[in-house]
Amino acid sequence: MNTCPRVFRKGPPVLVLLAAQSLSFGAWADIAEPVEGRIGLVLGYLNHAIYQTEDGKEECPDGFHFTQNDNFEAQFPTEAERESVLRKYVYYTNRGPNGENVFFHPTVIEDPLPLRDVKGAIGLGINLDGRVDDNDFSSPDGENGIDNELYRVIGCIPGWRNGGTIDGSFRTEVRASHKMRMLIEISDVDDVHNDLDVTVMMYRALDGIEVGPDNNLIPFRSQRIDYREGQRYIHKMRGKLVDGTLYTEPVDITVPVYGPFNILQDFSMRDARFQLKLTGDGAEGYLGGYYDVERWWLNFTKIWGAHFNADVTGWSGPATYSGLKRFADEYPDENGVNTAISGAYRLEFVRSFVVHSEDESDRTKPALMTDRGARNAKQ
Amino acid sequence: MPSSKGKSGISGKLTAIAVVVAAVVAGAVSLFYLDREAPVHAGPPTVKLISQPQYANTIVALFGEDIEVPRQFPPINRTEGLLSLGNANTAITPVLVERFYRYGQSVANQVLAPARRDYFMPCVPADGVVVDAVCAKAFISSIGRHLYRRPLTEAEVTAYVAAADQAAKNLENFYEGLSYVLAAMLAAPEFVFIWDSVEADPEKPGEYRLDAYSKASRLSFFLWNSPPDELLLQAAERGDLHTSEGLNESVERMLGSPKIDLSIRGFFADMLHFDEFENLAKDMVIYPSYGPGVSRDAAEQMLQMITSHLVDRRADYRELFTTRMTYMSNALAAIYRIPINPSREFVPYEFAEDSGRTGLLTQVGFLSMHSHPGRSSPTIRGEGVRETLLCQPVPLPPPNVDFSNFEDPAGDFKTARQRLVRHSSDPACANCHMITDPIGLGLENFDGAGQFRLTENGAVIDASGELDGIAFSDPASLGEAMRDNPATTACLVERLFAYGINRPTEIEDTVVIERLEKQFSYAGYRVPDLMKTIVLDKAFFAVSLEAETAPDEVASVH
Repeated sequence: MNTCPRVFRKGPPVLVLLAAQSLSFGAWADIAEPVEGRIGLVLGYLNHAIYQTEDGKEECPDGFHFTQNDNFEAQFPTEAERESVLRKYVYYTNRGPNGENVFFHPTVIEDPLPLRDVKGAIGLGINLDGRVDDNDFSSPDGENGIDNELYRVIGCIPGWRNGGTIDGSFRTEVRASHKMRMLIEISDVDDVHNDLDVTVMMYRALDGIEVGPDNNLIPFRSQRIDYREGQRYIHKMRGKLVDGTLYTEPVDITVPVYGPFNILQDFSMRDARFQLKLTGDGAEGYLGGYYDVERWWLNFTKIWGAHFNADVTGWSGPATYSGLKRFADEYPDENGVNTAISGAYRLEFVRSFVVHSEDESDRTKPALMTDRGARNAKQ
Repeated sequence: MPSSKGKSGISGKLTAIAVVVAAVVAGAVSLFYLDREAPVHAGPPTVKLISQPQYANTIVALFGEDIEVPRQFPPINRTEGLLSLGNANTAITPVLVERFYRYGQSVANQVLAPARRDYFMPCVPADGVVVDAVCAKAFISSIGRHLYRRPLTEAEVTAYVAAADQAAKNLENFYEGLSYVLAAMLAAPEFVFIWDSVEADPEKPGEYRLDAYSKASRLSFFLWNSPPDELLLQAAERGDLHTSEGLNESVERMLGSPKIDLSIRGFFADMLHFDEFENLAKDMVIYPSYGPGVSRDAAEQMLQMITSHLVDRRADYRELFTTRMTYMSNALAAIYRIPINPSREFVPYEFAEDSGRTGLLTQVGFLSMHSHPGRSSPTIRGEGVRETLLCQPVPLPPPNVDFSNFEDPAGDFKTARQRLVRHSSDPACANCHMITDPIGLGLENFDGAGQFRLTENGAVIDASGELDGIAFSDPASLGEAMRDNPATTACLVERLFAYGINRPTEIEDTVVIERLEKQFSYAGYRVPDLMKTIVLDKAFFAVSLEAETAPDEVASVH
C-alpha cells in the first residue's frame, strides 16, 4: 500500500506550519548560504525523540518502568522459586512456561508488573497525520498534534531515556564509524529561508568525521556517498523550506542504525519525513514516521540480544511488547488492528559538502574511517 | 612587387631590433661577468646548530623514512627575520646536550633494532655478543662520514671503536654497544653543529677559504636542506668544489634533484614564520570549522603551493601573489567552503575567479596566522606583510598604548576599518598604523580564520587600501601591488642570500645583493635560478678570519 501521498495530503496547510515554526524556532539565525544551490548535512547525533524532565515526574508520575529483574522477582517471589527457574532454564529472561526467552517470545506470559507508559502531555516529534487527536502530544513550544506513541511506550524506561544506554550507544556509533552517518543533501535551493520546491536526497556517508576540542563536529567538511554498501539508504524526497525549516514529503525509508558493537539494525520507517530547522552551520529537528511493530521489536530484541536488553538497558519484554501493540496507531490490518506505531528520531547535523564522485574507485573503495593520511607525498 | 623602400624599411627595423637585442644581451653578459669580479664582503666562519628539518632530513637520507625523529626542537630566537640565522647565533646548554643525546638514543635504538640492523650494517659481526672491532669500525667509519659530513679522523674512529667495544662488553651485546656509540655520535658537536673549517687558499696567499667538505655542507644544506650525499662528498674529496667546473657540475646535479623541494620548503617555512603555526589556536565557538589539523594543513598548503609554483612550474616569484593555483585538503576545504574528495590529501586546486582568493596573502595559513584567535587584525596582517615579505621592520607599539577607543564596547564600530580609524586618531598610534593598516585592510574580506566574507556585523567591508603609494581596491589588487613592489623581490634576495651564507647581511654586502637582484630580474624572477646564482657567486663561500683568530685554531677541527 502506498500511503505516502495520503499522509502528505493529511498534513497541515503551509500557513499553519509557517505560524507554528515561527513560534517554535523564533528568528532566523544566519544560515550559511547554499553552494551552487546545495546544502549538505552530515549526522552528528541521533536518538529517539524523548521529552524528559530532570526527575521524570512530569512525564512518568507513576515512576519509571519495571525492569526485567523486577518482573522476574514478581513472577517468582521466593528465592527457592527463582533458583529453581535458573537451575532449569539457566537465565532469568527464560521465564516462559516452558523456559521461553520472553524477549524473543513476549506473548507467552504477561508481565506481572504492567508497563508504566508516559502520562505527560508534552512530547517531541512531528504531527504526522495532520490531526490533533486525544492521544497526541504537544511540543514544548506549544505545537499540538505531535504523533509519537513510541515515546509513550519507552519514555519511562531509564535505558531509553536521554543519557541512558540506548542514547549512549547511538552517540558512540554515530561518531565511531560511517555506518550510521546519515547524509542529507538539499538541492535546487534558491532561498535558504523559503523555497517551496527543493529536492532532498538521503544517503549514508563514507568518510570520517572530525570532532573539535569542544566535542562538536567540525562543519563544512566534505563527505562522499557510500554507494557500495549504502544503496539501501539512498532515498529521494520532495521538500520545501519554510522560514528556514525543511519539511519533506513522506516516503518509506531505511534508516541506517547500528547497535552496540556495530550490530546492524536498519530501522524501516513508513511515511518518514524530515522536519529540520537549519542553523548557522547545521540543522536540528526530527525524522518522524511509523515503525512496523514487529520489525521494531525484532530490531531491539533479537538483534541486541536478551542479555543487553535485560541487564544493560534494563527493560522488560512482555510489558513493553504489549505496550507497543496497545499504542500502535497506524496501518491497521484486515482486522482493524494497527500494525505500526508513530515515532521520531531527534537529529542534529552539521553542514557538509556532499561529494558526488564520478571516480569509479570511490564507488568501490572501502570506507575511510579517519581523516588521517599521508600529508605530503613528495617527502 | 614590393618596393625597395619597403624592403629597406623592414630591413632597417630588423637591424634596429638586432642592435637593441645585442645591446641588451651584451649588457646582461657584462653585468653577469663584470659584476661578479667585484670584490665581495666575506664573513667569519660560522658554526650553526642543525635545525629540526635538517636533522630529520639527515636521518631520512641515512636510515630511511620509517625512523621516527623528534618533531620539535627547542625554540630558537629569530635573527634578522630567520630562525636559520638564530641557529647560527645560539648557545648550547647542558639541557640541550642532554636532549640531543636522547634524540640520538631513540634514533640509534631504532636503527640497530633486530628488525632493521642487517640493512644498515656493512658487515656481520663474528658473534652477536662478543665484541667485533673490525665490524664496529666499518660501521662507524661509514655512518660517521655522513653524520659528520667529512671522513672521520683515525683518532675519532679509534675512540669510537674503543667506546663501542667497552659498551658491548658491559652490555654483553655487540649491537647495543654500537647503538651506544651511534647515539653519542648523534649528540656530538660535529653532528649537531654545521661548522665551517677553513684552510689556506693556495690561489691567494695570505687568504683563507672554506675547505672542500665545508663547501659541500654549505651547498647541500642550502640547496637540499639536507647533508651532502655520497656523490657530493666524493666531489669534495677530489677537490672538485674548489674548481668552477667541478662546482658547476655538482650544482647542476643538485638543482636537478627532487631534494630541491626540501630547500624551498625549509627556507619559506623559516621566512614566513611557520614555527608560529605550532601555537596557533582559534576560538572554535567563533570559527567552528577551524578544527584540529587546520593549522598544520594550512602550513602544508602554503608549502606545496610555493614549491609547486617555484620549482615544478618554474614560475615567476612575483606571481606567487596573484596565482589562483593552490593545494587543498579536506580540513582546509571546510574553511574555504568548497567541496573536495576526502579520499585524497592535498590535491591541486584552482580557486574560482570570483572566489576572492588570489595568491599567498589570501591563503588560510597567512590570514589565520596574522590574526587574533577570535577576529581578524589589519594591523597584524599589515605587519606580517611588511616584516616577512618586504623585510621592513615595524616598530613595536609604545608601552602605554591606549586601547580604550579601540575596544570601547559602547562604540558603534561595525568594521575593523571603523575601529582603526578611531584608534589612529591618536597621533602616537597613527604613525605606526599608517605603515601596517592600509595593507591589512585589503585583507578584511577574510575573517580571523581566513574565511571569506563580504560583510562584518552587517556592514559591507571596504577592502581598499594602498601599498607604498599604489592604491588597491580588494585582495586581488593588493596581490598585484605586492607583485609589482620592488621590495618584494629585494626582500627575497636578501633573505635567501643570508640564509645561504648563515649570517645576517651587512652594509658591505650591498654590492653582492644588488648584483643578485639584477640577476634575479634577468632570470625572470625564478627562484631556482636565483639559488644557482647565489651558490655560484664567489660571495657564497667567501670567508675571512678576524685578525685575532688564529687560522690553525679554526682549521684544527680536522
